[in-house]
Amino acid sequence: MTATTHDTHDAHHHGPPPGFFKRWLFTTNHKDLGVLYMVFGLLMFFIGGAMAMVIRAELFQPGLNLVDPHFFNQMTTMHALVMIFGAVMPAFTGLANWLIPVQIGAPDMALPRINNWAFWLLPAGFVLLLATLFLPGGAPAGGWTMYPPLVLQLGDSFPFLILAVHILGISSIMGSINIVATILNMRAPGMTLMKMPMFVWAWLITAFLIVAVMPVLAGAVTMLLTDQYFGTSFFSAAGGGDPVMFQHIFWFFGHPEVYILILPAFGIVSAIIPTFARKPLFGYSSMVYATASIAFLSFIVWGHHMFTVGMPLAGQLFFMYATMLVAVPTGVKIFNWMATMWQGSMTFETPMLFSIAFVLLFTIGGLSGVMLALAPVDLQYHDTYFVVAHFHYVLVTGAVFSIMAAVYFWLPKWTGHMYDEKLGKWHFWLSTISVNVLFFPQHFLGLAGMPRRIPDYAVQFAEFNMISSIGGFVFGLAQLLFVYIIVKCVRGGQKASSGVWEGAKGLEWTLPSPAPYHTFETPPAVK
Amino acid sequence: METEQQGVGAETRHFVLRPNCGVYWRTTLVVFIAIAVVSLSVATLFAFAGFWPILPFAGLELTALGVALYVSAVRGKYREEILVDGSTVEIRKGQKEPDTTWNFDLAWSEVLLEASFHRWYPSRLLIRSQGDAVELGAFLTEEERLALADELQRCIGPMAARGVPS
Repeated sequence: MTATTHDTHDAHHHGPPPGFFKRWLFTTNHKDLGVLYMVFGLLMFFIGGAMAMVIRAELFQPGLNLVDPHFFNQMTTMHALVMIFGAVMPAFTGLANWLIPVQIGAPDMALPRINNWAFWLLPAGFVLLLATLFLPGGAPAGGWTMYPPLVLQLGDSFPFLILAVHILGISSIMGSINIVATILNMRAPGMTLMKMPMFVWAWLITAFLIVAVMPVLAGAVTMLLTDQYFGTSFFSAAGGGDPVMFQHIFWFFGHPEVYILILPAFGIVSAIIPTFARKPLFGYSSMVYATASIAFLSFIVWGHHMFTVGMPLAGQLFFMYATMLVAVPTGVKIFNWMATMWQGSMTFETPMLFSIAFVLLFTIGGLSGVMLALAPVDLQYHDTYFVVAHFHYVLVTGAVFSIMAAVYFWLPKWTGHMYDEKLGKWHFWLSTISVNVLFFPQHFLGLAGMPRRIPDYAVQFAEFNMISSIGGFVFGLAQLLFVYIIVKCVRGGQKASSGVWEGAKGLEWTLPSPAPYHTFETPPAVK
Repeated sequence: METEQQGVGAETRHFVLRPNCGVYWRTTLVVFIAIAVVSLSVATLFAFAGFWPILPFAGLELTALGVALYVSAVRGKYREEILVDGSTVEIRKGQKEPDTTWNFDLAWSEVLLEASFHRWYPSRLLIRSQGDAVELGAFLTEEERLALADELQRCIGPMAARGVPS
């Protein structure tokens, strides 16, 4: 009996279809779509970043200097929406697209055509959302949380906002359904759940969260729409509705959304640290259970975003203790990463530097989160710059740093070239120093009482705001270096081997660099 | 996708085509039920509080998820077999165990690779005999389909190539 198999070396000779449009517009290849997602995420990162620059420029000195307050509010609202739904989520989805099939030994995603559709909904949604900047009355300016009744006063941008949120939600759901179907039904024989790489586990749990909470967001924005145009009163006190209930519903979506933005980061760091510590990940099973525990807890802590609405004491206590519980599985993860590094043969290439910075700085964000979890303290910190500092430590030095680490880590696998390590380290140090200059003083501003979402402030806050803005400008400029490094690596450089990194383990590292267009058409042997 | 060719004997060729994936249906079901319980419980609680529009979205989404999981699981179990012996071509298709069978006379069979009507779409690989045609390997990549067509043409081929008068 003979068996003829078409292995990856055969596939290496088969490239993408010819023609720019056929390749990129109609592609159903998971690697192409991964690239599209990541390029889109990078573009949105710069658009959202430009909005942040407007915010920091306005706040550079007290007084109304550059933009009018209404436009400032548009910038804060749009910055959040663009960064969350346009930059971080698509970047993680892009990494999932590229990496999950090659990490589980699958030839592609389970539903490739839906994968293509899920991606192309994103630009459509963002065209709608960004177009509102040019409408009479401007873009949404009531905060990304869309609280009524403020959001109902937006004017022309309101229906655009609702439709855009729906479109982006559909895209997220379709992407998540595809990821769940791929992980559950496309794993190579022998790849049991507890053999999956942590990135795959993290994404399975993230997809679970997305599928669970997106209907809540869709329902909430639909109710806003019907309140505005169809005479319902879900959130209108005048009609017997409850505006505070919108906050409950929104944060029932919103808090798991925070974990949707950070769980894939945990998976990335769990891949990078063992590679450069040259040791297996410490406590793999506990990492899986900790991730699942964080996901579970994310459903029961939403009330900590609304301690100031007049919640009963029992509610405050429940949400306070439940939120503090999140520190337990998160602590397990941080301990495991440190234990992985302990006595390892560590080297400090750029992905490792970003990962170590992630562990340290995300922990700062986590600790300020524990402070905010305390109901009596939160009554003071609520809606101050302390909150802004907290979530930026989690989302920038957490989520964004992990994405940068992932790009440096897998870029040689994607392009077949090593990136410029010296420039990578420059990018790391510029980013890490400037991001702390940008966000650390905001803790002090918040503790001193500076409210968030204001274009002007009391002169007592001037120095820290100036320092913060300088940090912001340097951080923004440093990201241009990031783009240069990526472009340089795509165009050429030292050839990467299949293993790329000495300590790299996993199916993706058995493929040649760059990985062939089609991979694992024949199932790999999983030990 | 996996394309497997097994030579049973000198005169017999056996091709097995199946997607490359291990389907773990029980795990899939458990995960789906877990997601459905969470999503529907939340939506139902909100519906009881008067915020019913969440429920239809949850229903729609779970339907989409269920269909996606079912379709991908069914695709994962699909297989096609082609058995070519000295005088016949037997084609079997089905989930897990083939449940549909075609038997053709080898001398009156031919392998066709039809180009698609537009270059965006994949080609079609057919075995045709006396007016009947069966498509094979629709789930393969274009490269795999071309390789399989080449293999099949060698053992089924035009009658003239086999020395049989047409």
